[in-house]
Amino acid sequence: MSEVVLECRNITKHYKGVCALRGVSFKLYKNEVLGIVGDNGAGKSTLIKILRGAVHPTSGEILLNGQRVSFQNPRDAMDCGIQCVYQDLALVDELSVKDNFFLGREIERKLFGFLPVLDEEAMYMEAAHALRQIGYEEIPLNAQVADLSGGQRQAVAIARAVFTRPEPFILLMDEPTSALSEKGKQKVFQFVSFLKKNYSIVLVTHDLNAALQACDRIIILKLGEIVFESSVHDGLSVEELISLM
Amino acid sequence: MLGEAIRRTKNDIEGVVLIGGIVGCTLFFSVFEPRFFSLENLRVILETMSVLTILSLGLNLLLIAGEIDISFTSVLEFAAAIVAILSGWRFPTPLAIAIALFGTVFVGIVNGFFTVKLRIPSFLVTLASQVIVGGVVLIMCNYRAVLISDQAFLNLFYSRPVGKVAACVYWMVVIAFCLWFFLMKTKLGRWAFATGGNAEAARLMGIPTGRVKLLLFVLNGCLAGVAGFILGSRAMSARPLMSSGYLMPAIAAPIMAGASLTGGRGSVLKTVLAVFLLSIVTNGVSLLGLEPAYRDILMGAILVVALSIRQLQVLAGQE
Repeated sequence: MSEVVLECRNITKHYKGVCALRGVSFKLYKNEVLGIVGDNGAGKSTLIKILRGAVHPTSGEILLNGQRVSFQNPRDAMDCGIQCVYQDLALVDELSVKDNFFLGREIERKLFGFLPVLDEEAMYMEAAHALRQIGYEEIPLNAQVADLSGGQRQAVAIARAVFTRPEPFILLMDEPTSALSEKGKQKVFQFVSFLKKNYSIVLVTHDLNAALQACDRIIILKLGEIVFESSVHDGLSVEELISLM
Repeated sequence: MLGEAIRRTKNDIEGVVLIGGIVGCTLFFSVFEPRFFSLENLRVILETMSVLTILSLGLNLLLIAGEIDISFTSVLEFAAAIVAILSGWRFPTPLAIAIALFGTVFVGIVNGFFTVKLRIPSFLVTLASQVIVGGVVLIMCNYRAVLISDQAFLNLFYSRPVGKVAACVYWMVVIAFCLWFFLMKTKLGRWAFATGGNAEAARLMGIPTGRVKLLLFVLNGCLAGVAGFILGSRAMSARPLMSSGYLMPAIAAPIMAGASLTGGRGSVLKTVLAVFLLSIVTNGVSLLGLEPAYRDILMGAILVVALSIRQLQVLAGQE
């Protein structure tokens, strides 16, 4: 068995009398794509929010490489090497591709030796390199994100999550194919296959075909509990998954 | 090359409209009033537009971050009133200015606190603070104009250090440059655009959106204070309601320049151009001897035309 990079133990989350997660426990292995699927209200979003530090669990613990961690905010999770590709991509339409790529972690240089200013050239070079690495060098870095296609926006969000400092080792992908055409979805699956060589991935989706195509292992959440866990190599079908949800 | 020029023109419709408006109004007023097209009149326009430019640039900052502040008229009077009263008590000029700016910072912090922490819409918060600060100014001035007797203060904002151009024009240029630098060259400026464009995305990327907005409320308050110093120096006094005529044009200018009430957009250069256009109209109407009501009608019409052209472009893009 491969090395465990992330482990959740008995994660529970209550929201004003509603139990969103009940004792959820699972492991994520190195270079694995773990799919978390479930119907609306199953607790997928709550779980991913807990993993990226946006929500605190009511009880339970998270271990990264065997060490117990506690995230106060998304920045803590990022600092521990967890990056997230958000469902709505978290891009600012009014800013350029390059500006979005470095949002919140802009590179600066000193003007006249003391005045911190944005180092546009360094950011341009680094963003161009990142997009080239994932095969999207045709995206114009100075174009506004609002002018990009859905697939290009997805590429910018994924490249931003992957090519960052500190370098992540876990990627959380929240409904990455929800707004994409079939062609766009295939491109994301190619990304996922490419990325799993270097990262461990948690892919949250309600698209069961996508889960079967992209994941190594699948967990089904139902009303806040894990009701099924299996490798996808066991001849799983969409119909079988639906019957379990 | 021609295609690139056309694309840039389409993307910068506000700039084209503003420059077209400036050229059109200049031609119109030059034909009907020979005194309009002269260096002397340009100097007058630059001096009169300085207060409006500084106010509009302050509002531009907040509009970029998706907020608005309509308390700036009262804050302007507040700063001028503090300096006027302190000059009567023979306070040293730097100290009087520092105390007045501290007052504007305080109003900015209060506006920012209620908007960011209590999540009350900034329009309502600043509407309330406009009324409150306006009331404070009435009491401070005892419903009358208060003379500013500090000559050093008057010299600082309305003397003519080089040639015939008043100091307020230099203040305007320096402030416009600093704000352009802040917005386009610094991390905080980038964060202001991100906060207004998509606050949730900015927050997820680790940007402290609340603190960014708070800083911009404070900056806007300070800029209103500086505008108050200039207006007070020009009038050599402070009085309640001295800035009431600035409310509409100060909000209109950044919006004509492309700022959106929902945030994420705005330009320093185009805001200055918009103020220049509005100032040309004010000056031209005055030189033609028309009543001020015509100026208001023209300003309103220009705003509607500028917004309509932008909206038509947006609708065309959606199709």
